[in-house]
Amino acid sequence: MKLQNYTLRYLAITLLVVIPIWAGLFYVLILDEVYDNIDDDLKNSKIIIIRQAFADEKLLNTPEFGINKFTIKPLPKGDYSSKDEFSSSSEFMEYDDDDEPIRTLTTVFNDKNGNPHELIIKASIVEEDELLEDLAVALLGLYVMLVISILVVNHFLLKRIWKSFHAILGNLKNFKLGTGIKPKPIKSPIDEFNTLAKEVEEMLQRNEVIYSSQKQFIENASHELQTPLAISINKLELFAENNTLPEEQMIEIGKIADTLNRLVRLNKSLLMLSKIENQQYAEEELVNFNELIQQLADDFSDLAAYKEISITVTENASLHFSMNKGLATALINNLLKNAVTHNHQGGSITFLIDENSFTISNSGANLPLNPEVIFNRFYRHTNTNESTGLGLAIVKSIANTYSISIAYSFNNSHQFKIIFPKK
Amino acid sequence: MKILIIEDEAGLREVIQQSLEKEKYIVETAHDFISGLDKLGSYDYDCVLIDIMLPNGNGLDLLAEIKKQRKQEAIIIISAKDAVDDKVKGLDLGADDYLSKPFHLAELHARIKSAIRRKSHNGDNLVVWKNLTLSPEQRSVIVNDENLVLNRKEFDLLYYFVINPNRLISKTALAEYVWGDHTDQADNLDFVYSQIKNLRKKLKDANAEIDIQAVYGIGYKMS
Repeated sequence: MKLQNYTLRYLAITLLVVIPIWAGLFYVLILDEVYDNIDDDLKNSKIIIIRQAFADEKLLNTPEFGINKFTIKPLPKGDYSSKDEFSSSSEFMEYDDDDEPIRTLTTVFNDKNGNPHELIIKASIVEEDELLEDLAVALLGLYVMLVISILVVNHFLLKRIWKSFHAILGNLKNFKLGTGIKPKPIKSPIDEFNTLAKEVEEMLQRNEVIYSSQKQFIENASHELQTPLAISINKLELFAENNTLPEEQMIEIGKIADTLNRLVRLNKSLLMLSKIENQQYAEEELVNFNELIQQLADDFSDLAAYKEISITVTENASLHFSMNKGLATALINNLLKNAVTHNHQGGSITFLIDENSFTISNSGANLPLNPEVIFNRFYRHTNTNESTGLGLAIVKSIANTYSISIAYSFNNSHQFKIIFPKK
Repeated sequence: MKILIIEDEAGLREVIQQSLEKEKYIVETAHDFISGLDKLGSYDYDCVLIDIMLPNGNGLDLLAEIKKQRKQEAIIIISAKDAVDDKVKGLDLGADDYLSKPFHLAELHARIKSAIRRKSHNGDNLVVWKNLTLSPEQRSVIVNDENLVLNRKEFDLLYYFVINPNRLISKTALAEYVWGDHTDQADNLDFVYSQIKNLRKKLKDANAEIDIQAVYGIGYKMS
C-alpha cells in the first residue's frame, strides 16, 4: 500500500472515533452553559418580580401563568426555606403543537407583611433532541469535508512533497558501482528529504571511493604477482633456449614451465573472479549466443578432436541476452573446458539452444555430481591437476551477476542448463 | 633496429634485453619515468616497450609525450594491469599493441615484429623465410611461387614459427597464440602436436625449406 493511502486510511478511522467523542463533550459543555445561563436569567427575574411585588401588592395574587411567565401563590404560615429550586419538565406549546422542554424556578418569599408566598418562574429552553439532531448533521458534514480535504491534500500536496523522495529512490535504483554516474541532484521543499538526499549521495560517494580503492588493490596485487611470474617464466624460456641440456633435464625444465604456467592461470582465474564480483565488467551489449556458441565450439574443435570428442550444436531458437561480451565468452568457455576435461576418449558434447536458455551436456563419469559443491572454488571432482578448480566458480559468479540460473542434472550425461531471466 | 625498454623491474628488463639482443636488436633500457623520458628525448627508436606502472610516473603519460613529439616509434605497452580501461586508453593514445604480463618471449617477439612492420610504410609487409613468403594481411603462403592452402590455425602456427626463427617456442605460447585462452589444461596441450604434424606434412608436400623440430618436454624450434 502506498504511503499516502496508508496514512489516509488511519486518519479516516481516527477521525471517525475522535469526532463523536468531541461531539459528546461539546454537547455536554454547551448544554451545561445553556442551563447555567437560563438559571441565571430565572434568578434575575425572581429578584425583579419580588421587587415589583413589594411595590404592587396586586402582583401577589397571580395564581395562573397567563401571559406572565410566573405565578405567585400565598402559602399558609410556616417555616419555609428560601432556597431556589430548579427543575426541568416539558409543557405543551401551541406554536409547535408539541411538548417543549421548560425550566422552572420554585422559591418562597415573604411579603412586606411577613406572609410567605410561593413564586414559580418558567422559561423555555433548547430542545435537546433537535439540538442533537442538528449537531449530528453538522458533524457528519464536518467529517465528510475533512476526509475530502485530506484526500485532496494527500493527492496534490503530498504527491508533490513525495516527488523528491521518489527521485531519491530512483537515484538509488539506478546506482551501480563503478559506473561513476553521479546521482541526479535533488531539491526538495522538505528539509528531511534534502538531508536524506545529501546523506544518500555521500554514502554512494563513500562506496565509490571504497570500490575504486579495492579495485586499485586488486590490480596492484596482480601486478605484484604477475611480474615475478613473468620474470621466472621468461628466464626459464631463455635458459632453455641458451643451453644445450640433455633431454632429461629439458623435460624437467618443461615441467617447471608447465607448473609456472599453471600458477599464471590460477592467478588469472582468481583475478577474474574478483573482478566479476567487484562488477568491473560494466559494458554490456546484446550478445548473440548462437553465434558465440558456434564460434567457441569451433575454437575447441582441435582440442576435442584430439580426445575424439564430438561437439554438436542444435539451435531450436535464436538466443540473445544483454551482458558483457567477455563474460559471455568466459561463461561458455569455462563450461566447454569443463565438458572436455571431464569427458572420456570418444565422448560427446552437445549444445541445445532454446529461446531463453541453453543446455550443455557431456558424457563422462557415470555418476551424478553433487550440485551443492560443484560450483565451489577449488572443488575438484577428480583428483586431476589439469584444472584450476575455478572454472565452474567463474561460471556461477558470472551467472549471479546477471541473475542467470544454472541447473545441473544427470541423465546418462552431465547437463548444465543455463536459464536467462526474461526481459 | 633499435629498441628501448622502459621497465622498472630489473629482472624482467634484463631477460627481455637478453632475448632481444639474441635477435640482433640494439637494446637500450630505462628504469623509470624520468630516465625513460630522457632517452626518448635524445634518441630515435624503432620500437619502445613501456610498462604502465613506473616509479615517478605513469607509462601512459610517457606514451602521450611520445605522441606530442610526433615521434614515429612503434609502441607496445607491457603491463601487469590486465585492465580493459588501460588497454583502451593506451590504444587510444596511439600505442600499437598491448601485452599483459606475464607473456612468453616468443609472443613479445611476434608483437614487436608486427608493430615495426606495420610502422615501416615501405610496402614490404611480407614475411620471408627461405623459399616461403607469408602475407599476414592476405593470410596467404607462397612456396616456390606457388600458393599453399592452409587453414586458419595452420597459418597462425606457421606465421608464429616464421616470425620466431631459431627460437625455442613453448607449446603453451603456441597454444595461447593459435587457440587463444581456451587451452587451460597443460596435459591437453598434446593436441598441438597433431596440428603440427598436419602442418609439417603440408609443408613437406610443397617442398618448403623449413624444419620444425620438437624440443622434448618444452615445445618446438623452427630452422
